[in-house]
This record gives sequence, C-alpha cells and structure tokens, in this order.
Amino acid sequence: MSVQYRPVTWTRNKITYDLVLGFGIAAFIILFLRYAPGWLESPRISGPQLRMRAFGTCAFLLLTIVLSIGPLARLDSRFLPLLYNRRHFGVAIFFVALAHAFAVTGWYQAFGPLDRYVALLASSTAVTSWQAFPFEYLGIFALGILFTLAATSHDFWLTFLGAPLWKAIHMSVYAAYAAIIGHIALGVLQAEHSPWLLGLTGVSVGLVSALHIAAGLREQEASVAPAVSDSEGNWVHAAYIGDLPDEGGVTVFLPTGEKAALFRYDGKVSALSNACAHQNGPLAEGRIIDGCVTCPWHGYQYRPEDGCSPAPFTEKVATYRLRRNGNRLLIDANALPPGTPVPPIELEQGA
Amino acid sequence: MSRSSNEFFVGYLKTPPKLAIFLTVVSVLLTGLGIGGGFALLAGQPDYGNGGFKGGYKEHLGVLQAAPYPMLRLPPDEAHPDGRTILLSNPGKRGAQKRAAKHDGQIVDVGGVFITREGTRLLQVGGAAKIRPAKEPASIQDFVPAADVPLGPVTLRGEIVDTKCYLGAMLPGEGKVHRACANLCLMGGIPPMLAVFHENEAPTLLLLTNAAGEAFDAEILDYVAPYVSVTGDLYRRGDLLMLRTDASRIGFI
Ligand code: FES
Repeated sequence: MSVQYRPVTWTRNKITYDLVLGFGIAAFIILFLRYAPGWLESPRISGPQLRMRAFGTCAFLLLTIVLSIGPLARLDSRFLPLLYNRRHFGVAIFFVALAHAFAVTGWYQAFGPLDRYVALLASSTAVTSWQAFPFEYLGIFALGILFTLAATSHDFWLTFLGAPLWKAIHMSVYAAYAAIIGHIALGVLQAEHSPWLLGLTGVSVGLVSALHIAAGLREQEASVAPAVSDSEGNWVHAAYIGDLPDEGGVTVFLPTGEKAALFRYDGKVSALSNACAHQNGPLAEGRIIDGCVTCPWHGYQYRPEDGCSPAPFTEKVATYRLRRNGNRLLIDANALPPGTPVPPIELEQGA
Repeated sequence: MSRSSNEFFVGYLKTPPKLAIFLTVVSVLLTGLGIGGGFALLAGQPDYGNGGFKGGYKEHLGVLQAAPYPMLRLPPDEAHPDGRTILLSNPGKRGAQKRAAKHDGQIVDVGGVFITREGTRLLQVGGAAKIRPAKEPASIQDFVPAADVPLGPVTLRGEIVDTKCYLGAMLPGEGKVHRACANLCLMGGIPPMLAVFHENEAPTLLLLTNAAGEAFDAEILDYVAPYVSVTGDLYRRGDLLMLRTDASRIGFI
C-alpha cells in the first residue's frame, strides 16, 4: 500500500521472484544459443536466425507460463505467490519478444532495398492468402499489446485509469497470445513440418485453455445465490453460518454480477466487495491478519467493519449489509459506497 | 479451500517455510520444463543443407549478359559441353543489374565469391575486379554464347526462392519464415528460381522469367515460399535451366 509512487517498491519476495525469473530466462537463452546448433540436425544455422529462435521460443514459453499462473492460483492457492509480481513477468516477456523482433529485422529486413521497418510491412503483404499470409503482422500486433501492458504495468496507471479499465486493457494479453499462436501456425509451422513443433504448440494451447476452463467451472459451481427477499433492499442468500471457515473468506456470487467476500473473525461476520482496490485481487481468498482482511495478491489490508485500510493508508472497498435468518446469512446485493461502516453480525459462542 | 494460517502468503512478509519449499520446487520445475520444452521444439528440425560462401575471391573471364538477370557466360570445355552460365548478384539483398548494364554483351572479368549449394552457384560480385572489361580477352575472343534452347512446355512443383539466400547466404534461406527476406531480395534484383525437390538427389533449380523471357516483376512476390505448381516453357541457356511463365500459371498446391 504505497502512499507515493516509486518506480518499484522492492521487497525481499519481489527480489527473489525477479532473480528466479531472470535466471530462468538467462539460462534458457544461453543454453539455447550454446547447445541448440549441436542438437539440431543442421548445425550450420545462421547466427541471427538462431537468436530469432532462441528469443522467440523463450517468449512463447514465458507467455504460456504466465497465462497458466492465473487459473492455477484459482485452483490451488499455493500458486498465489507466483501471481504476485506477475507484472514483472509480463515486462520481461515484452523485452524477450522485443529481442526476437530486433533479431528478425536486423537480418531478414536488413541489407535490402527498403528501410527495415518499411520492409517489415511492405515485403510480404498477401493478407488474403492462407499459405503466404504475412505472419509478421500478427507478431507486430502481439508485440504492440505486450508493449502496452508493460508500459502501463505500474501502479500509477492502475490508479490513473481505474482498476476496471486497467484490468480490461490487461485482458488483451489473451489477444496477444492468440496472435502469437497464429504467428507460429502461419510462420514456422508452415515452414517446418516437425511433429514436435506442432505437438508442443498444441500442448501450450491445450494447457492454457484447460486450466482456464477448469478454473471457470470451479467458480461456476458456487452458483449465484437464490434471492429470498426484496423488501428494503435486494436480500439474497449469502451462506450458512456453519459453512463459514474460521478465519478465511467465502465468495458470494451476487445477482448483480458482482462478488462479495464474507469474513468471519472474532465471532463476528462482515461482508466486503471481493475486489481489492489495488488490482482487483480476490479478497475472499485472503485471510484475516492483525484483525484486517488481507488481500492474497499483494497484501493490501482492509478493516472488515468498514472496508477501509488502516492508517496511514487510504484505500477503501465497498461494504455490504448482512442480516441473519436462522442458521443462514442474507446479504443486500446492493453494495454500499466504499468505506461505509456496517455493524457486523455477532455470532453466539460455538456457532 | 484448506490451508493453515501460517501457510498464507503475503507479499511483504516472509514466506512460510512449507510454501517456500513448494515454490522452489515449482520454480525449478518450470525452468526445467521451459528449457526442455525449448529444446524439444527444435527436435526434428530439418537439415538446412550446407550451402554458403565458398572458395574465396576469384576472377572469371566470360561474356556478360544483363537480361533477364545479370549472368556471365563461359565457353564450353570438356567438363561443361554446353558452356557455363553463372548468375551474378551484388552484396546484400541487391542484384548486379546496374553494374551489368554498362557491359552487356562485352567480354569481362568478374570478381567475386561463389555461394554454392549442392552444385548450384551464384557469384556475389565484389573485390578488386567487380565487373570490368576483360584485361586479357584474347583467349575467348571468338566465343559467341549460344542462344536459348527451347525444351518445351512443362508443369513443375516446387518452391520459389531467392537464389542468393537459398544457396546459403542465409541458413535456412527458404521456407515461410524466410518469406519476407526472400521478397526483399527479389525486389532488390536477386534472381528468382524455382527449386524442384527430388527424393534422393539435389533439387533442380530453374531461373524464372516472365512469358517474354524478361525479368519478373512484383507479381511473383505473392508466390514466394509456399509450395507451388508452375506451368511454363522450359529453356536452357548454357547449363542454366530457365522457365518462362507468368503469375496466372503459378498456383499454391
Ligand atoms: S490486488 Fe494487489 S493487494 Fe490486492
């Protein structure tokens, strides 16, 4: 929770994360450049073409991993720390992809009759042909998205654009992934008919889709709560008291399409918006630490009674009214303005 | 979701030990899988051949012809009963048209380095001589290059390549990935050839020209790299096969 903007607020975990990431990328590139020619049937691949492959392959694998982290963390919370600092991961992918682009334009588009950036757009233009399609265009498109995401990854942009817009922009990473699959399919897969190349590209698509579907199904199981009352508010079923975990949250899917996070603490229950004010992290997957709901993504904290971050921080999330009905809790699906205090439901001993 | 509270991760706190072990294992696994995956992607990559710049700088005496693409004609000898026809290019993605135009039909010395792949060659012009009027033309004074020999209509399947990269200026210098580069070479004046592949022998390479036997214009660019079928009239100039065709008789397979 930063009260001012710094380029990056470093923590021990971020440093570890970046070191592991940097080490992995460096190891990949060095091993690839050093050993791939010997491993290939054709060791005499031109140096720049080897570098194109090294950076291109690396960026593709990194993108596969980064897109798998999100659903993995939704399926198993132990993966959550990989999500933390995912933005540095994204910035790293952009730079690896940029190195790929430079390796390409410095070779295929260089030494020719046209300026290399003009050549990139003008040398292969058969957009209506499947066989001759300029797959470079798809690569340029994906690189543009990766650049936009890297450039707007800082918290400044998150605040400036607002979380929903920021998140929508960052969802375009899926468009970048789709474009890269097209870039591969209409590029190297048309040039080289290796079953490995085809198979592993398929594995990437299969893995990313399967994980997203699995995580989506998991969320759908917890289907929208049935409405039970609508006098003075839109009261719907929230949870059975016996189902509330001791110090964790429960996600409630509201008929408004929003999600609330229900927390039990100190024999009391409160409801907040599930979306963290920082980056929409899922608060219901967080925990109560020092009496505050703590976001699982970057640890922003909110008081359960009013959705406000403890001083000196100023973040706020919306709160919800709760009502007890026998052994279950009802929630008013209409959110209250962020930071509105709501008296918690007091539970009797042993409830 | 079941996890004990000391397993909970908060970015700015110390990572709980059990979780730290899990994360280490996952990181090592991901790095290993990534590197393994990268190498596996390469498995089964084809052989790009052993073309390339070979033999160093040499000078050649012959008769220069500027059309359809700059080439040097050498008189027949025992090994080459039809004489030899050597295609020429400039360094980079550029043809030798400008240099050749001044000497069309003359006896010249051409200096340069061969780019050779499986017996087919192209001479990259450069060095001391480049293209100049022959210093000692006497030995081929009365050599008159033979006219094109018509060999009849054919339909051939293969890949349209830019001669220079295909022969080894780049490795691989063919295929879809290399398409933009090949097109730039052709735009720059490098001669286009059709590579017809055979099961167990080196591909046959045929110089492509338009129906009138002149240099192809931009219409050919759409057909470079993917597998195509080309119908046209076959000619032989010296030991060089030439295929006269036009874009309407080229189609993707
Ligand atoms: S999303 Fe970053 S702390 Fe909640």
